[in-house]
Amino acid sequence: MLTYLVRRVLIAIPVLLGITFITFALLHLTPGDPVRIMLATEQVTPEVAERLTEFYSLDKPWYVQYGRYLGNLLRGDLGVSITSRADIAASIANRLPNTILLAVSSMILALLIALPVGIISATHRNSIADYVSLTASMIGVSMPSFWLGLLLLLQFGLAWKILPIWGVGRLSNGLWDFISHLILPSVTMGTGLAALLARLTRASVLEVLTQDYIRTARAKGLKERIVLYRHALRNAIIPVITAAGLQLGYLLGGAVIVESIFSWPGLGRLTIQAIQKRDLPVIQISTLVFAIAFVLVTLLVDVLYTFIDPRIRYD
Amino acid sequence: MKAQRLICLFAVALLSLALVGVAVTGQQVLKLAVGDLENVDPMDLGGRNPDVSVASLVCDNLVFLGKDDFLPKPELAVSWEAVDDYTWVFHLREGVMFQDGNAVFPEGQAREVTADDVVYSIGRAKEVAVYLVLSEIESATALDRYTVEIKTAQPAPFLLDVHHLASVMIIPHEAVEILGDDLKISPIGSGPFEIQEFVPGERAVLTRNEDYWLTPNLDEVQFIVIPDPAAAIIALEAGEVDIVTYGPADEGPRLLDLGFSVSGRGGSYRGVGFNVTTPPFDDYRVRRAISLALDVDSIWKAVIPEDFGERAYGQVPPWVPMGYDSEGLMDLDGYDQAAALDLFAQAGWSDSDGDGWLDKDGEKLSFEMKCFGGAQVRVFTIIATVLQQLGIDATVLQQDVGVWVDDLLAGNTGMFFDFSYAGTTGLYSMFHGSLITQSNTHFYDNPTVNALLDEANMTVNYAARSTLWKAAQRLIVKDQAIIPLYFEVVTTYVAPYVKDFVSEWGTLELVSSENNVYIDK
Repeated sequence: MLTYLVRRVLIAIPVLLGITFITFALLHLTPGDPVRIMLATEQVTPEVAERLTEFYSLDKPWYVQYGRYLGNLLRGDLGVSITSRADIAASIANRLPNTILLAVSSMILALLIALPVGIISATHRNSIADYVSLTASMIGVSMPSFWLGLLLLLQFGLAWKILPIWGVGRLSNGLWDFISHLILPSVTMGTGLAALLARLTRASVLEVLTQDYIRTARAKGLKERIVLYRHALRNAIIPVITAAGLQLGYLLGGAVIVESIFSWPGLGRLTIQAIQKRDLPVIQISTLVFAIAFVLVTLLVDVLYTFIDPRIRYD
Repeated sequence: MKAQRLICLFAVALLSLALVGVAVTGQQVLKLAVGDLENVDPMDLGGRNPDVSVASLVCDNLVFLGKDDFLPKPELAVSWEAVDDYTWVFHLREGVMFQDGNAVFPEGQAREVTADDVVYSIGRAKEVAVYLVLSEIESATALDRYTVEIKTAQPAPFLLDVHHLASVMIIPHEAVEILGDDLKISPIGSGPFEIQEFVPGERAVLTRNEDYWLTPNLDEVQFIVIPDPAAAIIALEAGEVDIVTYGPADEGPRLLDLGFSVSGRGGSYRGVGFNVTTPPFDDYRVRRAISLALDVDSIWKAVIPEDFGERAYGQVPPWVPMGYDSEGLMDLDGYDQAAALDLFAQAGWSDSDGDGWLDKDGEKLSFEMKCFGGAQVRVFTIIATVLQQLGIDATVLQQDVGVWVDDLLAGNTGMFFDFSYAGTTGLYSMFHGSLITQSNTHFYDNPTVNALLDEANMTVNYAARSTLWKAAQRLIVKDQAIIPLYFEVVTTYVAPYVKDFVSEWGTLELVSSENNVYIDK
């Protein structure tokens, strides 16, 4: 297992290097740089623009810029934002925990809803419960998060005033402050995810329930509960975990809309603002962080397989 | 029974009085929703308005810009004079103390702000503040404890303007030496509020500086990051915040009905721009004809609510303290579609084959109008419709902002949406011939205009400079390098119980010689 993990980490290095190069190349092929945008809209004078261009080496050839970027990266210097001049390492460090918190809480919420709903739906196929869950899943998948977010904000924040509508709660202000701030953004993000995973769970459980080993288990006189949870679910859950892992990877990339609506200071908002302002150093580092998150989540999912299905071995 | 009633009445009255007392003596806390908070190092604020607002409450500047006339008013400097065209002398307020109870100055151990601090701050700003224009300052010298002399390399009429010396915040050198990078989150100055907490991307909490030379009414100011404008408006209506500093204009009429007020200072210039070297716009008659074809009054009012903008007749907006000249430019405006067609015909463009489109030498009059999004798409859609009705094949091309900028600066445009933040020196940046391919996207090069702008840039006398500026602007509009449409004002929504609030311009002034914000709930 350890050898496998080391191999995976080593494989990740060229992948991440490739990502830095592709990001850099794409950004430099995209027209316009932040200084030119500020210049053309008269936010800065030509004198200031010239100084900024020189300061950020924007006038240097791309390979010089890329070389400097990689060199700084290897030294652990993530650089400073062009527009805010804030330390990028500090910005990422401030926002990453918030992004992880929101992603994980949304995923937990989604799984808490999706697994029971999917299982009930599969075990009670073509019943009212199944139809209700299918309809709810369809609505959940189709509902845009910006619409649901604003709706929740209006109802729970403006009309009923029972939940906070912006920011991150703090444990120092009590557990309720911490949880209450998390509820609306997690529900907004988790709803669509829950719907998706519920449908996947239903399909997967249905498929497993038709397998021979399930029929054998039933023929041996095992209780239906044991058949379902010990034999069917352990096999049915693997595609759900794969999908949940991929979705978690996306969530760790930050949810721009939810983060904006609920003023959640996460990585998604940082990145989208950087893209809008062509803040190249921030875009490069955020992309790298997303890539690392994806690599780690995929690795985690692979390791999880071995716990769920003992037949899977990587040695 | 009667006695019991009287006792009850008395008790109720006492309770009411107590409640009123609590309300009156309650904490005066102002909450502002802002788009983001990133870095509040007073020298490193760039054009980030929320960061500038926070830092400007913590630090004093030499001057602030007046709420009505936008002219410099005394803050840390009680007076100043231009001794000659190259020398300015500032006299500082005595007895102003830096904030204490922080990592730099322990409680009760603050020191007075002196001329040396001003000299130090200017020096550091020249070194660090890449967004400020301070190259005009040749030297800053402390003549005595409260007098600073500033020498400029050439006459510097914009010295006390936004992005110039007026934007330099005065800080103690100890703050830089002791705090290092922490200056980005916990600046120290001599302003009316002290920073208690700054979490980038989340919030900033400031409390009253009890030793400030004026007495702030507010006990606490909170800046809360709510990036989504719709969510910010919901927070305002829910009473979670008192001010939204960047509200969408579309919400204005509804919020006004609900009793909120609108406070706006500064904004942006919006118009039609021409690259005057690109055919067919290299022909003055074509540019003039397009101008005559457009009913600008109807167009801009169709795009933004009337209370949130103002018709533009030139590029210089009303919040720039020189050169604004609506009345002087009105005679250049006109709406006459028959005259427009006549001018097109004089330029050789007419419907010679009767297909409904103007043409010349067998070529249809056809062009793209480039813009990058938002209200400008609506403006250009209206204009394209009007021009098509006249037989001109005008189409709207919405571009990514980076592509739009590259096209503009490379001269790969003919007619484009002209958009600028309309700062004081905008006229120079946008139309001086020496800045073609840099910031002059009109490729406009008129020697008379260049000379007028050059002279204005060297003229310290305000009235004389304003005259020169207006003359240059008149020539630019007359040459029809632009069709001014409107000035869009930055919209700040304010709860009805917030009194004496003045929107930011350069700095945010909650406590000044002109205002002192308070809550009257």
